[in-house]
Amino acid sequence: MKIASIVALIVSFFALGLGCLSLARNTFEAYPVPVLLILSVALLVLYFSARVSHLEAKRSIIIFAILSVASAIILRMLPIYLHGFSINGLIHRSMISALFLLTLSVPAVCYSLFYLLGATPGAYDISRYPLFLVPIGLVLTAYGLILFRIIVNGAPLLNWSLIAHPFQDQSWQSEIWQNGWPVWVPNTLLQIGIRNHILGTLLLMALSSLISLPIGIGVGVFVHEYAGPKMAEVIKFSTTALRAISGIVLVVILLNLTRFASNHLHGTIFEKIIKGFGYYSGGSLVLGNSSFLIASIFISLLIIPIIARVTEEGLNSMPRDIVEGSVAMGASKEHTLLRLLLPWSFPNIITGLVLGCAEAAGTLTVIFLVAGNGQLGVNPLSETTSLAYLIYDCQFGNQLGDTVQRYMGPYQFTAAFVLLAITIGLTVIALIMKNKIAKRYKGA
Amino acid sequence: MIATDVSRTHLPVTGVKTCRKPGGIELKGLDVFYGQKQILKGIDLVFPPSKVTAIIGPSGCGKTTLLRCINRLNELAPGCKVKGQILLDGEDILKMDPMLLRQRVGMVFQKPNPFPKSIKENVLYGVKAIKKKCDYDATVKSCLEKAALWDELKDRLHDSAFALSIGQQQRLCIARSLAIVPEVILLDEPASSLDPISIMTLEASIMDMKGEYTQIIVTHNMNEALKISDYVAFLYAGRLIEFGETKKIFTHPSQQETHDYITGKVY
Repeated sequence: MKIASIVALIVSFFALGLGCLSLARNTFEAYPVPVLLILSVALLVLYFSARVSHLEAKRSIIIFAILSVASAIILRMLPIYLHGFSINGLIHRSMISALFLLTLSVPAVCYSLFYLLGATPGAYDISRYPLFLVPIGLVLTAYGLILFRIIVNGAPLLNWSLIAHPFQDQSWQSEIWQNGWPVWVPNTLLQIGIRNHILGTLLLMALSSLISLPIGIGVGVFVHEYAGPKMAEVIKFSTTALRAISGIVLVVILLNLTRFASNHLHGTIFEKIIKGFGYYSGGSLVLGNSSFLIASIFISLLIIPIIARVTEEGLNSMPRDIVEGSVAMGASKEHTLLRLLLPWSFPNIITGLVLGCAEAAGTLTVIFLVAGNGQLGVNPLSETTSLAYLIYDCQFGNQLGDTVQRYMGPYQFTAAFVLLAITIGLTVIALIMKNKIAKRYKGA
Repeated sequence: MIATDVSRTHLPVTGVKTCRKPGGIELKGLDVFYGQKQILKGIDLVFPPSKVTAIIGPSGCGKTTLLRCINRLNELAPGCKVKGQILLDGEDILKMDPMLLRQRVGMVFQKPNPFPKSIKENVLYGVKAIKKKCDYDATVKSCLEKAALWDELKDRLHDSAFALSIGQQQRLCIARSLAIVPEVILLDEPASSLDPISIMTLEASIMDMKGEYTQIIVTHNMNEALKISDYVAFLYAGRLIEFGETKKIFTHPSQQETHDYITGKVY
């Protein structure tokens, strides 16, 4: 029995590893058909040896054995590349074999563990672990690989001069006057750096939390304290709907605003606010660089629902009898709200704010059509820029010329690394703050 | 009465009224409805000032509703209607500002409900809520002394109130309601979630506070009612069956229902 279960364990682990490898590399496919057949044989041996040694023999083992034979046959029949009029593109067969191997090897591992540990109820509990450990392991590995790639490619290029200087170039659009004639200047690089991108990310986070925090908390408090049941339902529904709107829809509104500004608000302060200082349209509509202020307002539209929801949940989580105790002491509604309910929901609000800031730092949907390279400095009215946009720009380029892509391309992992550091640092600070406040107000 | 006044003056509160006398509560033809259902039916009752009155009766007879009407906490529940009059020192409370009323009528609940703050902040919560000017440290000391908590807690005033035992939390709730110098204190089965020793301490502090405050206590425990109360009101199915001095009610009740309840025939 023991030998059979050890053999089955080894075979199913081999199948599991093979499945993971096929998943990891697109076209990797090493003998899935024989492996599946061996797996089914091992399962059958497991079943019959369990019957011979008078242990509880699970009928479902046979089902899995049959399934693995069936999937081996299906794999044998499939062509190497799948394509057709219902599939846009090509799928290599290894994808399917990875699917079969993973779905069949995980239960096989469970069964062999069950018999290896003696087929007791305790062994049954332990033998279920692979069912959730394998997916968790896969996801963690994926995250780990991404992190590893960012750190290995990004960290060595990080130095002080990169952080301390803004990126500057002379793009093909600009002209200088020489001897009374305009001269087009070709792409030239003046300075490599990500200072403006970092500052822009921070400014975006700060501005959008500044806008969304009071409004979000206000909405949460209103829904919880002042709105009637019907009103509360309507508000909750609309905040959820706002959250569900994709950022790309907001971009459409933003573009229309920019067009409106360039057509009708020329030369006024509103044009500066909507478009930023550096926008140069020259009569034709260029997908345009909005200011930090406008970008923050639009990002706030994404954050406000989060903050409103967490605030309301925090307020709801306060036990009813404590609120009653406050009312019974003659405290006014406002006093109860400010001194009791809001401090209680601070930890929730901080969590919401961190989520919102991460959204502001990493969001691309709103600003990737409206951002610039930040040559013009960082202030609320300048054109938007952020690390997220830099990464996008390095990868996919922009319409106005490829200086950024050419010169900043090697630094995209560094930018991702810095963005990651900012987000993680923020989360850590928020966690510490949250714990301190929770200790103070909840006595936990 | 002189002794009463002396004991009240050491409360270092310089509010609107420094030396208020305990107020008497009078109910005149009180009917209370929750939606269609009538909970209390025509209750006429006078709670004597500066005494402890126990309200006894089987579960669901409206004891807690009666208590919550006196500081108008019943208004928090939707669909509650009150008819009749409730007089505090001759003033109709239904025409008073509820916040001012609740400053004069404190309440201690069935389950201890300290605020999620430090012990000191808990005691000072009411004082800060009504923006009364007073010496904070002295108020904390005197209130905790009255609730028999000062000796246990004087070194840990800045700890969270949630770290206390249940009995200490309940006495903290009493201390908290004393800080705003109420005239009447309503106690809604304050001992029901406590252990025997905490119950003894709690009863001792209730006895100590006699004479300074009018106390109305709802209780299920006959022994407790007998031990601490001066008067007893017996409620049955929303009606007031009998009201009188504790000794008389427990020895020679005039009504059959009261007798049955006290001797344990009706629950």
